[in-house]
Amino acid sequence: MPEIYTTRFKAESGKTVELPSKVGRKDIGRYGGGAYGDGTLQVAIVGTGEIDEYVVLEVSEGHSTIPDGAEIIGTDVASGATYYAVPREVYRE
Amino acid sequence: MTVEVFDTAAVESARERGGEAREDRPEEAETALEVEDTRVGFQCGVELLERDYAEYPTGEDTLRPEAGDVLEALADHDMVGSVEDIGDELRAEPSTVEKALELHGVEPPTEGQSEGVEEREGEIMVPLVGVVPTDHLRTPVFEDARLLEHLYIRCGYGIDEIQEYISTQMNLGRGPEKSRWTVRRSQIRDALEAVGLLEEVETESNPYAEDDIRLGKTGLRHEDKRDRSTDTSTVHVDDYE
Repeated sequence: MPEIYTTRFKAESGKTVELPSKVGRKDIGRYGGGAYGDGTLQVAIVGTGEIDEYVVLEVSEGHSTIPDGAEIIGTDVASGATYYAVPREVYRE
Repeated sequence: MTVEVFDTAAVESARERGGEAREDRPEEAETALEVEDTRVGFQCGVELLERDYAEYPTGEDTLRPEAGDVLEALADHDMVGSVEDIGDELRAEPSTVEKALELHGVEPPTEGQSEGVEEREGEIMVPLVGVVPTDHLRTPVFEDARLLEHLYIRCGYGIDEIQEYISTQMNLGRGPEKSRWTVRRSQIRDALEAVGLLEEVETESNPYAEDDIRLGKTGLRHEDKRDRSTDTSTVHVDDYE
């Protein structure tokens, strides 16, 4: 019987999160909020394998480069920002 | 070197220099060239990093893995003494810089300090003279004959040095919200020629033409094309002079 790992966090540049090495499902969307339903952008990730530290970063619409080994998390359709996660260890190289 | 007004020998000697610097010049004129704008902040004075401001990472770019060297260099810089200083230089919020320093494992700066150069809007420091209000000079200042005569003849500066000196002085008083004041070497040369301190040089052989984007000089050709033999009613500019 496989063991899965689920984590949920606010999409925020510079935030350090723990992600599974094998990502199975990623959900991103606005949660909560007032009359306009803007809320906060939340991410939920489910996967298996070892848990490692990643740093959440974002790029805006258009062409961008991201480091090797980065995991695309998803796009905020309201702003066009794409969130991705890079292994924490690349900062120590 | 003392120069009297209309010192023809000094003017003659300066014209012969052809825009080059003079070797024997007052010590104060030499040291005035060493003045740098040492304020910390984006587009404030000289860049603290060895790159143009246009190539600086800004805002949340500082969080990216490749920004580590930049943060380390700024944190170690003699003129940077706080997280706010780094934020000012990179146009990033202090909270973002704090986060970036932590990610990159860089210690926040504590000991550096900018030299606090006083902003001097509307004034220019003239070597051997002192602070002069720019209101007293022509606009643009690099076309002021007195300033040019002073810098070129009395201080013995060459065209490159005059350009560098005036640019530094004009930008010392400008806040980061304003664009950088600039002047090209070719403009300094033209201005020196216009006030008779330099012989006019043909564009082809002009060593300062490289930063001059003009394709040709604007001019009016005044020709008398009236044909007296016909009775057509051609109108000429000359008729209205």
